[in-house]
Amino acid sequence: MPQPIKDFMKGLWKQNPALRLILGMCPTLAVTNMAVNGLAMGLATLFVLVASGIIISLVRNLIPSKVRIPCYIVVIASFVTVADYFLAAFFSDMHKVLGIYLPLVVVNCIILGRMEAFASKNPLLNSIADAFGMGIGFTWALVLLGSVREFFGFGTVFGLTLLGSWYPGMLVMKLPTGAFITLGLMIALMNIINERIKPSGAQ
Amino acid sequence: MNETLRLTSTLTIICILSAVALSFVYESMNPIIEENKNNRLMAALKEVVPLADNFEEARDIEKFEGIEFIFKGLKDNRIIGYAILSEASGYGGDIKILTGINIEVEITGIKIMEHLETPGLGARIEEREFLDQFTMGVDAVTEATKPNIDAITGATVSSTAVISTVRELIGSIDIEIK
Repeated sequence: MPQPIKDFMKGLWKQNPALRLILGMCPTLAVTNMAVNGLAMGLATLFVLVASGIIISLVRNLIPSKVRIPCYIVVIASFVTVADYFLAAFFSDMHKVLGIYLPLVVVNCIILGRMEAFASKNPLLNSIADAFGMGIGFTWALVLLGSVREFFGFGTVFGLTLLGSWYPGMLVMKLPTGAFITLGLMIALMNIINERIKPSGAQ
Repeated sequence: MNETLRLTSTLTIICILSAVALSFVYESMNPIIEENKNNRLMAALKEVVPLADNFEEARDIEKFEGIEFIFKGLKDNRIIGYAILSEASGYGGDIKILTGINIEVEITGIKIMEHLETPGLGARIEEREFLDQFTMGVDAVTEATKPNIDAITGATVSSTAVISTVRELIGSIDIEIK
């Protein structure tokens, strides 16, 4: 497999940021009470990852290593601000829902982590592949987490009513506690799947 | 010295570039953001004073504590009601409540504009089931001993914050407008 494809694939499962690296827990736990919120947060993070990855990979040889972290933060914060304005202008309802968690993408350790560990050391194409892999990996984890919580908490998924109005809604799933429980179960399930596929020599 | 200069200049250049880029983005997005805000406000005003066809900020009315703004609701250029944005302190932070009243100081509509209450619990103050209780007549809110409004189960703090703020507002606005 060519290197960029490998870089892309690893974020999806093997090094999934939310489920394997356990990074970016603040947005993961806080905004996933509904599937659509998880999707929006995932996509915003994906955008910032890719855009910052491109810039940082391009200037990686120009930045002295002593000031690299402040430089990365400035680049990341700029793109987060762009995403913030964009959502406020074109998806203002979603912007209201994500609230404080959107500006906090700046300090999401997935982004700084990928810049430091990957984009600052690898060529452009690989960095873009890595950013997309990590971003999509983060997004699907958040959407799944949000869907499970929305299903048990509200009886709906993506606003679609699956359980009728008789369903009272499980309060714990609407609160952050539900996110911890669901995330734990998802990681456990992932470990079981990994155990199963290991003997067959996959990967 | 040379090293220090290189570090400082790199960071400075990056910051300048980022500031320039952001100001362009801000310039292009800000009108849309402002328009969204305005549309949202107008829709909300219309919701709480349904009979009015035009709104005008009432700068001449003195605002007392806890009130952010007052809009006059106009129909054929005559004042038929007011929309008042007041602030209550809820469980998770400030709750901004837009209350619409007619000239008899009866509540014609009420809407929660902003809040930071717990989703599924306190956040239910936004729901019609709770808010519609306010429009059932002024007695429901200003009943002397106890407001005749059911709080939301499991969200007493949030409900009480809204109820007492609206109650206080109706009590004091009575004097201000009449």
